[in-house]
Amino acid sequence: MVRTAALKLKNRVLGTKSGNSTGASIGTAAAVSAPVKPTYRKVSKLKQKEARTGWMYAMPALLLLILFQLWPMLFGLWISFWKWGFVPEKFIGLDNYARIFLREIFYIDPDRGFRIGEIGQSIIVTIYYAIGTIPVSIVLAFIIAYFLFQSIKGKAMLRTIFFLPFITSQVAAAIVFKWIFHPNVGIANSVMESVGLKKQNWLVDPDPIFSKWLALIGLKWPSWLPIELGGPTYALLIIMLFTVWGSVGFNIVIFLAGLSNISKELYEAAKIDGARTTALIRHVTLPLISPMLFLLTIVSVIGSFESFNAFYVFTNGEGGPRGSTMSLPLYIFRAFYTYGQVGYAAAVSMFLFVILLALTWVQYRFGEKRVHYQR
Amino acid sequence: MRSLDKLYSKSMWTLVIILIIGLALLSMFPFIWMFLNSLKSQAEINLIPPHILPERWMFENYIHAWFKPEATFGRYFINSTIVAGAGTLFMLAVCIPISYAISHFSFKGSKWIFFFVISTMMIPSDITIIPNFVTLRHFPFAGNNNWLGQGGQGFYDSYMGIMLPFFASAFSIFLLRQAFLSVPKEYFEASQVDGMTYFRYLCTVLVPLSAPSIVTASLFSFIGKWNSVLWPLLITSNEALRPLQVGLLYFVSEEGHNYHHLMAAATFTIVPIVVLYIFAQKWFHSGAVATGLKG
Repeated sequence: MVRTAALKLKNRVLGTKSGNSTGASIGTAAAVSAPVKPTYRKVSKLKQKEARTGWMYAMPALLLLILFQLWPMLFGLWISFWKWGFVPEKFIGLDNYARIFLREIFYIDPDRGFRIGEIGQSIIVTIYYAIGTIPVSIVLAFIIAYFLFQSIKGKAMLRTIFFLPFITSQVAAAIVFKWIFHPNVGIANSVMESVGLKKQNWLVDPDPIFSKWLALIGLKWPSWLPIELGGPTYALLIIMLFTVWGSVGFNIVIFLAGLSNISKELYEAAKIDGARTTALIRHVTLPLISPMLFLLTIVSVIGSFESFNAFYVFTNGEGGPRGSTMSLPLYIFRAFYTYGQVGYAAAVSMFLFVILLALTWVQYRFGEKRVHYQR
Repeated sequence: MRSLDKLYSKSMWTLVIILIIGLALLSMFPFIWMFLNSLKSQAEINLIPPHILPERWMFENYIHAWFKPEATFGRYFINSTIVAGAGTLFMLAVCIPISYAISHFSFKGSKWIFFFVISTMMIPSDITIIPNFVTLRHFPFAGNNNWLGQGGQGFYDSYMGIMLPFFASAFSIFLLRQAFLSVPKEYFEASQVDGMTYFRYLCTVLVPLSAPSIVTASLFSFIGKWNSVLWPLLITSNEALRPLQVGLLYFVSEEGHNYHHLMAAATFTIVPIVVLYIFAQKWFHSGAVATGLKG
């Protein structure tokens, strides 16, 4: 029914009965609509009606966006000045922020000197996480997308295989990953043993990897240096692996969309000039796909600072071992849900927002110049 | 020289093929391992070194996992289907009109509306969670609340509470706007000349012609709602309202180390989404390309 109505209209626009070609409609359509010349008053009335209908159609979505996106920004800022349990208790001005900057990022311990606080640790964890996931995921996705873009057999199936992890629920997938890395019966340890390596306590081992390497050559991690700087723990590495596994599929879809926009002639011209595949990738594909790369980098950086699910499900919401997998959103969630400090949690989320704004701005400032736009 | 070149590119190509196949296997491994282990017995799943294939295929694990939790997975499935299904329909009902308005109607402010929608994409979800919780709990006239939002519990512990903040999705609006813009403007003008109402044009021309993008937006929305954890966990406390993922979280803490049951539960929570994706993937990929993510 609906289809036929659309087709009928299309036929009228085209002025034909067959109406199979959409592309060629423009010239004919203008010819059809040209003879009707409404008077000026009619036009302004039509314009009014258009504006009224436009606002009417936009209103529900606008109201919802204002209520659940814009309002929370202002309201959250307001909450962050309060000592606020489940009900507002006391207006305390900047005390929540003072707590963040004076105690939770870093502090000076009278006995042990410079120490990193809980938020400081979360930021370090997120930096490890971003460095460990974003480049790997983007490079792998590019290789796979480039390969899938060539006409090969089984393309659709491969695409599906790589995309499945992205649509899989992280709760369910994390159950499987935790089972794979189970210290006693997980298959990861079986593999380690069969190739002659030591079994590991994957998700519960609190020692960061740099200190492990130092231990390998017989040195100890110096006590004056905060242990948080000792690199990611195995638990965090597993969460990184999990994230790469889950995000490659999405990046592939974006890259495929970008690749399909590059015109074939460019490749052919380069080939006639005798360019090799590697040269083609470096001088044709990469520059032309750089807007995609830029987009993915920004989205991924924001994504790593906002990541909650993976961290929550791997550690039952505790961020262990020893806080080495406590992302900032998980920290906010715990302040809110476990400790009921709504005001403080709101203050930390404002802090996170400022970090995100700054990061995005820096990326625009330095990334935009390197991006090659086709227009 | 030429032949050396050919040999070089051929060996590179083989290397890439091996890499891709290896990655594909790695990518599938968790799924395969999950499925195989969901069919093993308790004793067999704890064997070292592990068996690849189960000795006896224990399909009863699935029945056990399904009926074990207090509210049962049947209930969780219904909840998730309601939240994701109705949530997606509401999302379309809210987002299609605004996309239509900003793509087809020229009026003062339409640019600003679009700019506003896009800028809300930058607001991190973590910021909105706490205020939205307070807003929904004190929503006027909902859940025994008075007009000031006091007295009752608002939309706390309700399907509406889980769905409402996500009706308007900036991403969907962006995607649909791009799709609507790619329909030739002449159709719209012709329909105006014919005296077709705005609404009729939307239903009979624009929506059918933009089907791939609408399917893509719906699929993204459905998957997002089906897999969401944090928000449903916060906004509900009633067991009978838990959606699937939250139910699964509780199931993990209850079942602990009965990994064969956990694997079975994980498998049947993943299957519906995979089936949905496989059915929709043809539209989905053309829709993803049509979002206008171009250079």
